[in-house]
Amino acid sequence: MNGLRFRKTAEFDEEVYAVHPEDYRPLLEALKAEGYDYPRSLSGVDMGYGLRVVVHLYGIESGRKATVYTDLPYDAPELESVTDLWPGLEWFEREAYDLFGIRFKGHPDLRRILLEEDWTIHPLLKRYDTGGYPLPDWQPAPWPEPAPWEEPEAAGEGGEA
Amino acid sequence: MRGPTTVEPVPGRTDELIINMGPQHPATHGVLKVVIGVEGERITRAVPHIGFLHRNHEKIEEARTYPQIITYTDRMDYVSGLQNELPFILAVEDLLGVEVPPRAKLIRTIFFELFRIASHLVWLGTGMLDLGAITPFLYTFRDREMILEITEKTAGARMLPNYFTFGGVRRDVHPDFFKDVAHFLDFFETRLPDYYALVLDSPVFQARAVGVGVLSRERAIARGASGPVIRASGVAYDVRKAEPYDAYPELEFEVPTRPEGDVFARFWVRFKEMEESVKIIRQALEKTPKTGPYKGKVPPRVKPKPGARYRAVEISRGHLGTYVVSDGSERPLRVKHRSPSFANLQLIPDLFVGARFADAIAILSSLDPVFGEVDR
Repeated sequence: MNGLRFRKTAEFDEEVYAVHPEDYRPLLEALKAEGYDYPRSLSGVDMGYGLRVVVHLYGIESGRKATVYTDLPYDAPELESVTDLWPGLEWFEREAYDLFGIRFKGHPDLRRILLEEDWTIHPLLKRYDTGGYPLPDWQPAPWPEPAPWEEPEAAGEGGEA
Repeated sequence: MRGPTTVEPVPGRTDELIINMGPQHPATHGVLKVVIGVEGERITRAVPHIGFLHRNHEKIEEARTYPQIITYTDRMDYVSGLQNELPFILAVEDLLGVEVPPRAKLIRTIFFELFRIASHLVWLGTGMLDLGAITPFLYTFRDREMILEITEKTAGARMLPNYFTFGGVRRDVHPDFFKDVAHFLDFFETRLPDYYALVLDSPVFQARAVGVGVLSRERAIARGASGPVIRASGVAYDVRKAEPYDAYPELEFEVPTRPEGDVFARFWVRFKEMEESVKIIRQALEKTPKTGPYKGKVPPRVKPKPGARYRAVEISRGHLGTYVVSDGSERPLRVKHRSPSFANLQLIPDLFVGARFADAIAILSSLDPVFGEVDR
């Protein structure tokens, strides 16, 4: 995982990785190689300032849990698909596309899954109310002050994995 | 009709027939549509379509306060209603830092396992109905009624009781509770041999189930299958053991697995799970004090600290996870439900293609989807 821009913390009993969108897929590839073979979930989250994609992983043999998340701006919600690493995330990525409009590049079949094909909005965005109508006074919150990513040297301690 | 079918006929090919199975097909357990291409009796292509029961719980829940949301979680997998409340409650308890009294944990565990038996009985009845056997349905629904009556006495409602809450359960159990549950277990244990004789030991059933719809261990893991589906493929993944919650760490039980991965194995695993549930409930009944606290100290206004938490439980159908993101207010920023049937249904193309059309029904009933939870 050398050279990737991410921050690793421990919350409750999980390892939590915040990762730069460009390094999202390389980090997940490294985690897959580390033995996280079971895809638990993939969620989209509207943070108010941007969109977040959260992946929950689990290692069947090791029993370890990991959470990986990355923040995307509203105007370019694009991310590399990881369905080839975990085919079980195929429908979860489709759901995140359906409800949040996050486009996963390389997904084999990125269509709406829960809503009808003729929907034009992505209803879980905060700019819509529960009826699916745009909120007139909704404004995105300012992007939070970016915390520095871990230096490649600092990340080197996990480098043997 | 819902969008393009995505299964287009191949030009010039006349031996393939395209069939829409569902959304009103009686054997799809609700509102599933599968577009199936068949060549004679063999399935060549299968594309599942879901979403016909979509209510967007997750958006509604963002507009509700935390205690109000528990009511909605019940309504995902309505067959095992009470079980669905737990992952959300566990996640919020973690964020709140609430302690749950041991007695409340045991009560929750007893109800959790009772609903597992109730849900497996519904699966057994309707699953056999799909395969053309009507008698098991009548027997299983009678047994399930006893569980629903126990729930009604304590919680006030039968299928969607809204009984668990932050820090424990909403009210103490009914004075008859322990007697009723013990009576049900004694009765149910006399019923189980009948179910074995009617279903698993029946050569008619075995002819339709053995070697049908085989799912490999690797595919089950990669596809994120869970519950009896993954355990019938030889993976001993059970959230009750992998990340124990409530009273499970102090109870002894086994995780039944089978290596074959066919329809028969998935039926067999659910049968064994009902037996294990009886064992778990017996132990829990013995350990539960008759009186004592049933709810821990919870602030009157539930406002978890900002943060996020993913918690999972093993409901009847598998790994149900809830991801709660809190911004410190009375309403969550996001609630995501990772439902087991949603992930399990991704297996439809894997299992259907190559099978015979009549076996598709058997495979689907062995996956046991509930559409309230798939579509949310």
